[in-house]
Amino acid sequence: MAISTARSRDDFTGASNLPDRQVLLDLFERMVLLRRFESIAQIACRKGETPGFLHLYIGEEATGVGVCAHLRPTDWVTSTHRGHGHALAKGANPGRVMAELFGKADGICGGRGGTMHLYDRSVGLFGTNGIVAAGIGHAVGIGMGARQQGRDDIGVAFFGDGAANHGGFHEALNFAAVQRAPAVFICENNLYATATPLKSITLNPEIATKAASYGMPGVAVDGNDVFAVWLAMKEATERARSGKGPTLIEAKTYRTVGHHEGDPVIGTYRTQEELDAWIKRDPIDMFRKKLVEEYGIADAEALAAIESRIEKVVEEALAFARNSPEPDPATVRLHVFADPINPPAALQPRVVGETRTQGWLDAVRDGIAEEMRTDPAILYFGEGTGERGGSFAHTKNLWQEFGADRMVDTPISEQGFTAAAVGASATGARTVSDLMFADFAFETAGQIFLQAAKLRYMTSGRMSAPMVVRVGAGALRSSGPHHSGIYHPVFAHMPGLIVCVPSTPADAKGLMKTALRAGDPVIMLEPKALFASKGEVPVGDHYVPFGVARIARPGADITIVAAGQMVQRALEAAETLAAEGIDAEVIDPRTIMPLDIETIVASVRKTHRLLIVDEAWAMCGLGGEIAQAINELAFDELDAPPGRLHTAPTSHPFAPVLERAMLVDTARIAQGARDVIAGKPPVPDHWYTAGLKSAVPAIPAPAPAKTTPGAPAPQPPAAATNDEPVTMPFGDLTVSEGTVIKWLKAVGDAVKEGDLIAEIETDKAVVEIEAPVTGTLSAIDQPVGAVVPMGGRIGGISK
Amino acid sequence: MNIAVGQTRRLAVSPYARRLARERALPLEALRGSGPDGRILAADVLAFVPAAAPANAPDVAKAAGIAIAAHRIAAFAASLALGAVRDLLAALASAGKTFDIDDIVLRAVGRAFAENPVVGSGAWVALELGGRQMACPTNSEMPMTLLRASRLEALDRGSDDAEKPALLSLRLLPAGDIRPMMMALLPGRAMRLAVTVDGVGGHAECLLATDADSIDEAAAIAWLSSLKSAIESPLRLFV
Repeated sequence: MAISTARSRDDFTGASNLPDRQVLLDLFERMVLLRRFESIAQIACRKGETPGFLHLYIGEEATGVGVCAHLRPTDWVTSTHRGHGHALAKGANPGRVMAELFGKADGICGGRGGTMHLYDRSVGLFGTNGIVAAGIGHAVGIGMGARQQGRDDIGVAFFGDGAANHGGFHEALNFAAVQRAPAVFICENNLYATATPLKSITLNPEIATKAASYGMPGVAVDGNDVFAVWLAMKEATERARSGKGPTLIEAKTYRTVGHHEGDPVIGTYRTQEELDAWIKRDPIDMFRKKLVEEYGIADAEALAAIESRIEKVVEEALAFARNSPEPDPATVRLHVFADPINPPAALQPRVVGETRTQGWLDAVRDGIAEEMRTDPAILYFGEGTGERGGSFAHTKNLWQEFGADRMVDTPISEQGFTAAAVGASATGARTVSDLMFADFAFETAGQIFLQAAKLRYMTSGRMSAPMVVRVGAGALRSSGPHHSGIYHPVFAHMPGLIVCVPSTPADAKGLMKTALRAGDPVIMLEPKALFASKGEVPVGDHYVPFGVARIARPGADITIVAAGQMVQRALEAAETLAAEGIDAEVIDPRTIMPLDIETIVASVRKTHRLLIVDEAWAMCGLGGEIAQAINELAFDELDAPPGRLHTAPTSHPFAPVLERAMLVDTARIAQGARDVIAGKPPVPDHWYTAGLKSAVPAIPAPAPAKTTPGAPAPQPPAAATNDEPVTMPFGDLTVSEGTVIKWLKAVGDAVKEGDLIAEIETDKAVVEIEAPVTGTLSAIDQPVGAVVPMGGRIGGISK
Repeated sequence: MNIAVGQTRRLAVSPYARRLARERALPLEALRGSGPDGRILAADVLAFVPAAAPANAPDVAKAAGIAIAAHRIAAFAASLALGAVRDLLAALASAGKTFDIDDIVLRAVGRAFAENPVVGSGAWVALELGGRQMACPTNSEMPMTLLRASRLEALDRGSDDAEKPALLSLRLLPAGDIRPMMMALLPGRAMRLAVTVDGVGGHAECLLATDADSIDEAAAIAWLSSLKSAIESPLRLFV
């Protein structure tokens, strides 16, 4: 599908299909603007007027100008570290861009972004970007979001040849192609990834041909010929706008400056001959010659007049930047989160009304459905969350109600679809990026931490990415090292992320509904161990505000802070302690960021003792964080050193006995509370500073607990008989029980091993129960309608 | 400085217990800690039966006596020759610089603390004046004239510093040949020193009472010995 560079030029040397004169002159003028702007910026940089470093666009102007000539202000471009040219080509004000390079208050991002983080909502500039390939997926989401909002605006991604070997490129192109996303991908192939030649890092340096892998058109053009780029982009734009899907354009070009200002022009990786050859193909000189000699639509004087007009523009831009004030240091803390951080719906006074008993997954699903009905711009991206209803049945029926365009089944491309979620959510849509397990979030950590979390801040509050990252989190019955983590301290560490760890179905639903109206990215960590739990959920609209803790149990003697599945463990421990005359108060913060420290302080003022119980690890964790906050805020209230109990500092082992040894359970919480009250809190050993001693902590491993935390114990056989028990099988991790819906055999019937004898319905599926042995059905312990825990006996067979 | 910081044996007190004791003006030294390694906890403060606010001095002594009765009190006596002091004060007065025996004793107390840091910090002592106490600095780095000025100023102010932290309370009495024999500690004070001076200023008797639970007896003896030596060779107090 690639069109050769030569042929694409031949097509219009006849000039029969030339656009009108003004279009061509505008292309020339815009290229001159880019060149002169960068030249002035280069001088300013050398004088030390610009903080940081600059990556100049000199030599590549034809690509940015040829592409952006087709775009409206409501289309968006995503860009690269070498993006000043894209910003100007898209229409950003030169003075305000220059001021941003100077780190000044009048810069397009108020001085918070700078050269590699230039954003401008008014012209559709999604941002230059310090991270290679990060913006490619944003363009996919921008296009999909516009489509969902009923607009034919498109997303266009600029990136370099270096990005073409990055997962972000491959994931985004594949996702865009299968979604027919209204997007165009522009690879500016300048032959070197910083200083690494393209040919040395791929055996297929023809980047346009990579499009074939994803079933989309790939076009290679002379990136120094603005008209060739213009023509290729014309077709790609029409294709994207008309719903036919994305196109990859490879623009072969060259930067005639060093990688960054101060880097040698040739360096150790390029030759003078190569540089000279490309300078002869300077995009502006070539186009000037064409306009005058080939197309005959302008003379040298007319073009010189354009150049002197631009000279004035860039001089004014420089003066504007120099005269702009520095940002006020007093504003440094602004624009981390929306202010207020909660959406209006969550700030409404809560009316306590009717409730009903609901399972966790049902409650959250209802919340998402309610919000999706209210806001047609919500898109849900996830692996298997579409027609199949999700791995945990956590999106059951949403695809049926909202369709494939909104309940988007994604490839296993966490980076690709999370980038799309960032792009869509920042441009008018709202998105859920469902990553299935919290562990998988690290596959797209850059999009969460470097793109979504920072967007509001680096644009001085002019943009934000109100997306929800939804994951099942935490340990549950031997999920193993890659499916058990919860990681909320990792996320809470990053300014700009809201982190929720609910503990009840009502809170899970209420926080999800708030998240879908919030102004910032929300990490929604739903403990898998609670998916099978049930609770009272308010009927009707129910929003839980961020940063408001819940007092799960009032008490007077000790404060226990616990989140997620630790809340239930802490409540159980509180009952044990109550029998000993210790009245524990359990505080569930519900959101880790923002953290409702005031409620914890108020509790400690009452109890004067504190134990933090947390499923995440201790190192740099919640226990230390809260304990130190109490030192700072309520030192004089402490009658004992605060204690902390965390999951042991190991990966999650598979063997159940090891996993139990690692996790905090009810008995440990109760003992921890007693120890704090005795003035001797549990001493953690997570520092691993063994020094000259053995690396193995001296504390002996605790004896394994008798019961499995978080799971109901299998019921003992109903009758002490010698028959072979028929049991509800252990199966899906997130299902804890099922309802007997049918017995296919009666007591006394002969059964063969493998015969279908009963059916049990769980939240996710109907489970067929087969006879474990050949014999006679001797007992039906659980009749139709009975709710049976996993592993529980339902009947027996005598041999 | 918090009283406990300078104690011979550092008192372990939970922050909340410390706050409760401060609010109740209870001497931490008088409390028995029930926490790990004798840490004083809130419960120990709350269990301590606080005396009702005393209406007059005998009641204070009575209440304190009850409170301290649970503790061991050590008492040490010393006789001081004041001849050198008397001569020195007369010489200074003739040179236009007036000091009282009170200034000398306060200064000597500061010196005794400086020489016996193991006893505790005596940066401030409470001077007993009939129904009230007056906190006086004893800083041995400070010129005598400043110390005196500060004492006279406090005297004029007339406030009661009974709740201000100070390890030692000091009673100066004109008493002829009478020796003090026994006395209780005041609330919040682990040491009490009574000095009786004879009519002509040639001789004084000292009685030092200490809380033996918090101040080592040998240290108390060394302290009293420093005091005696400082007062009997008063020139050293002016350098």
